Amino acid sequence: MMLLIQQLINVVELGSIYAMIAVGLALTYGVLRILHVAQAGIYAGGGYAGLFLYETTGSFALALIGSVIICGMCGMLIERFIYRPMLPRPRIVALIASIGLLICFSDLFRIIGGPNQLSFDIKSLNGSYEIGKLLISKTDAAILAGTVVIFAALWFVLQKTKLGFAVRAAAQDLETTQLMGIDVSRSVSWMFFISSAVAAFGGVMVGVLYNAIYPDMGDAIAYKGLALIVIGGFGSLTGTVIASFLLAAAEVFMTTYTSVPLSREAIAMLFLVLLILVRPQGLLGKA
Amino acid sequence: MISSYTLTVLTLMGIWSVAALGLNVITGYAGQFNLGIGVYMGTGAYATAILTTQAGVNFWLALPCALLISAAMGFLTGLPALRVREDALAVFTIGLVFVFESLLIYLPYFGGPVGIGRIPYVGINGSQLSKEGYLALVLVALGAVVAATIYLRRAWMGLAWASIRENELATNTIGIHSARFKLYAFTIGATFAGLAGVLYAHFIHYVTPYDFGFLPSIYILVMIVFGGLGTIRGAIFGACFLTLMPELFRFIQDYRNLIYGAMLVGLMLFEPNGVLGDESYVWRLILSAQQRLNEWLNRVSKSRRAYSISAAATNEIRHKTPNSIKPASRKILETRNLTRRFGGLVAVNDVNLEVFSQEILGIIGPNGAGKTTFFNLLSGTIPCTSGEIRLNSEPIHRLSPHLIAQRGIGRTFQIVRPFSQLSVLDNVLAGISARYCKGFADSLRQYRNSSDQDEAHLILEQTGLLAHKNEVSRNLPLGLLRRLEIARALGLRPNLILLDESFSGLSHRESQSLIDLVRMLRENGATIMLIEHNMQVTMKICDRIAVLNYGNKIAEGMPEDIRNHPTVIAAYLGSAHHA
Repeated sequence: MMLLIQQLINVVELGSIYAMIAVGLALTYGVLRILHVAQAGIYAGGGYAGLFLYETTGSFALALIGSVIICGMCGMLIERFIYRPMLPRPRIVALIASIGLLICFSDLFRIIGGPNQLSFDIKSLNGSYEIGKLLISKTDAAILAGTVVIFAALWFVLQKTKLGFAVRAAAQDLETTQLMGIDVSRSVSWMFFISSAVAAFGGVMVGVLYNAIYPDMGDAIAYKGLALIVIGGFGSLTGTVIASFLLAAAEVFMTTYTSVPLSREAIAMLFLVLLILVRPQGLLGKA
Repeated sequence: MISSYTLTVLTLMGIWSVAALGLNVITGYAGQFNLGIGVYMGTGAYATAILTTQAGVNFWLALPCALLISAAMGFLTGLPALRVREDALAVFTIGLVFVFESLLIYLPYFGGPVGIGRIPYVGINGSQLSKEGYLALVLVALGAVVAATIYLRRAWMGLAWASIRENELATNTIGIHSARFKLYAFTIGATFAGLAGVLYAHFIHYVTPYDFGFLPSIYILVMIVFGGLGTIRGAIFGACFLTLMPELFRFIQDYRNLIYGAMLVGLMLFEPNGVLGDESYVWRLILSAQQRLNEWLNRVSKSRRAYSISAAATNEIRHKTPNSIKPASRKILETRNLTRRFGGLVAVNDVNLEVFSQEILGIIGPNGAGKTTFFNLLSGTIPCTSGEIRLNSEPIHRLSPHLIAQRGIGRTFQIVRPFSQLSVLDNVLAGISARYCKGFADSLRQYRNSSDQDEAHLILEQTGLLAHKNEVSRNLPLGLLRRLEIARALGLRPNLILLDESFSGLSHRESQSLIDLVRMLRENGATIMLIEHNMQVTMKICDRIAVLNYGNKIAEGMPEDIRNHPTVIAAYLGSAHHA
């Protein structure tokens, strides 16, 4: 019983982290049709920035907010100066540039922070809460709470604000949205801010969860994120979030309850390959 | 004497070039994103590793076996690609490469994470090949792959690949089975990559799963994009430069990846065509230099003659076109109760229509009447919900688009779908290619300098495009693009041509000359169905007109009858009684 609950917590945590990366990728893909691999660099950057700010200020809240804002602005810059000039080009151009960026990012982090894992230990989050017989670590609790907050905020922005409306419209049809008098390039800019900010939030959370920040921490999760937007049905945000939790469940339960001799990455990718064979348009995609 | 270090670098350059040329076939020529080329390279490498170390097979026997296994892998992994497109395919291939790597690690036969070692040296006549000898072997292999690539590019298959890359839907409607040619591309590309894997294994002497994982696959993709996607010189240049680069940048070891990444971003920003791509700065410089040299040579030795079609060839081709053989007024196409639903919407409802040979039949109706859907059903690009279509009394409504096209139904599109990067001449040749693309062997025949050139030139002459034959089609104005689509469809030697709003957006003069063209096609024996909003044009050229409204055929008859038909007037203007 205890194990099961702990597993469920793991599923929710892992699923939320996947969703934090994948939602940004799905948004970017939906509007610009770019496979934004460099999102992984932003995510790792979020971890590094958070750690740096925590060590200098000593406040976790400040570190979290600072990291989210810095990375959001980074995302805006990437869109403005790298992706925007490439939009009229064949899409492989932006993909290769994105891969180049990711390589740059991981090398930059290695040069700055060294090749080894850095510890991200939040003193105030040591220990755990006791609820009846249940023991929940403060870290878990903080991450679950953070997840709820970030997804509520994301939902609010996308569904209830003009910006979200513009982004969703642009994802349907960029040109028509432009013709309707919406400043699409500004909306796209903010969309990059949001998706990068969410990714950075994920980076900080993962850093705290596993008490580790390292240069290529984003790589595996970036590939999985790409797989998730395909599984979810390209551009479908709901599908992407569902896929994130399904994948997390598959990974957690397959590694604990079965002896499939595959790595987590391979499980995710097997999941992807099988699903595409059965349903090429993804979970919620249209045929 | 070349140093051992230089030999090693040169050999690796050759091996990566072979791998890059393999990916170039799949991604550069056929336009299918593949981020998992390592799967095929790894298949070749592991196949030869197992055969030579565990089964004790000689290299020269293991080589063809490994190539066959790689080809089979390409074929198998190509199968899903038939259903999955573009970006989903790209991500799918990422998935494949991770699963492949993982299987190599966890299945018991492949030596786990440490891989397979002690892969033997290559020997000839019992004596072991020296480093120089191995480099020569790699260069021979590279030469063979380059020759094969050039051959394929100039074959009908290469033209079919280019068509698929430019526009897959249009490719199917000119009678080419795009799925089959994508599979060929995967199989052939995988074989080349497998060859690179074999060469790699016998050079390094051990293979690990990580040699052929995601990152190596990406590096190969980067090579071909860096050098210039879809070109042989680009693939080889990219492979050589990126193999050499780490060696050159040894002095800044620490910042190597940073520079590498920044270089990629910069190149994509400022030279997205790759260093030596078809439209890159460097290549245009080379081309203009070459042109100046040619001009100079021409002045020295009199100019070459322009292409001309021999009179005999013209007669022969005219004879081949399906004109005047069939008596007029024979029923060639018939639809019975043809219906197509999209969810609750009935786009085409129970339509019965007969089309007679050598007539010009107009399909008119208000917007959303189901006209284009009707054409899509006839050309097979969407399946019908119920009812049937018969061409020369044979049912065709269950056939895929390419088979319908092969039976002689050609079409154009409302929103033009030319093969944008190909020349006008190649667009027309692509239209002709269907007859060679039914079988594997036929599609390997060369398309340049064949008698089909004469036919293509004749079609260009008929459609008034001859003067533009060498222009890249994306540079043409709309009026010429509409003609180009007709010309491409003529390559099929169609009995029936479907023109979907070919007159819209044309100037008065352009439509006049298009009317003349349509009439001439009919004189030459073709039957024509056209969707048109311009009533003047419709009334002028159509022998008969059928009117659709909300998916129903509401009238059919001679132009003057239709003009005065009360139901038709009501459909267009609203009923007079309700006004």
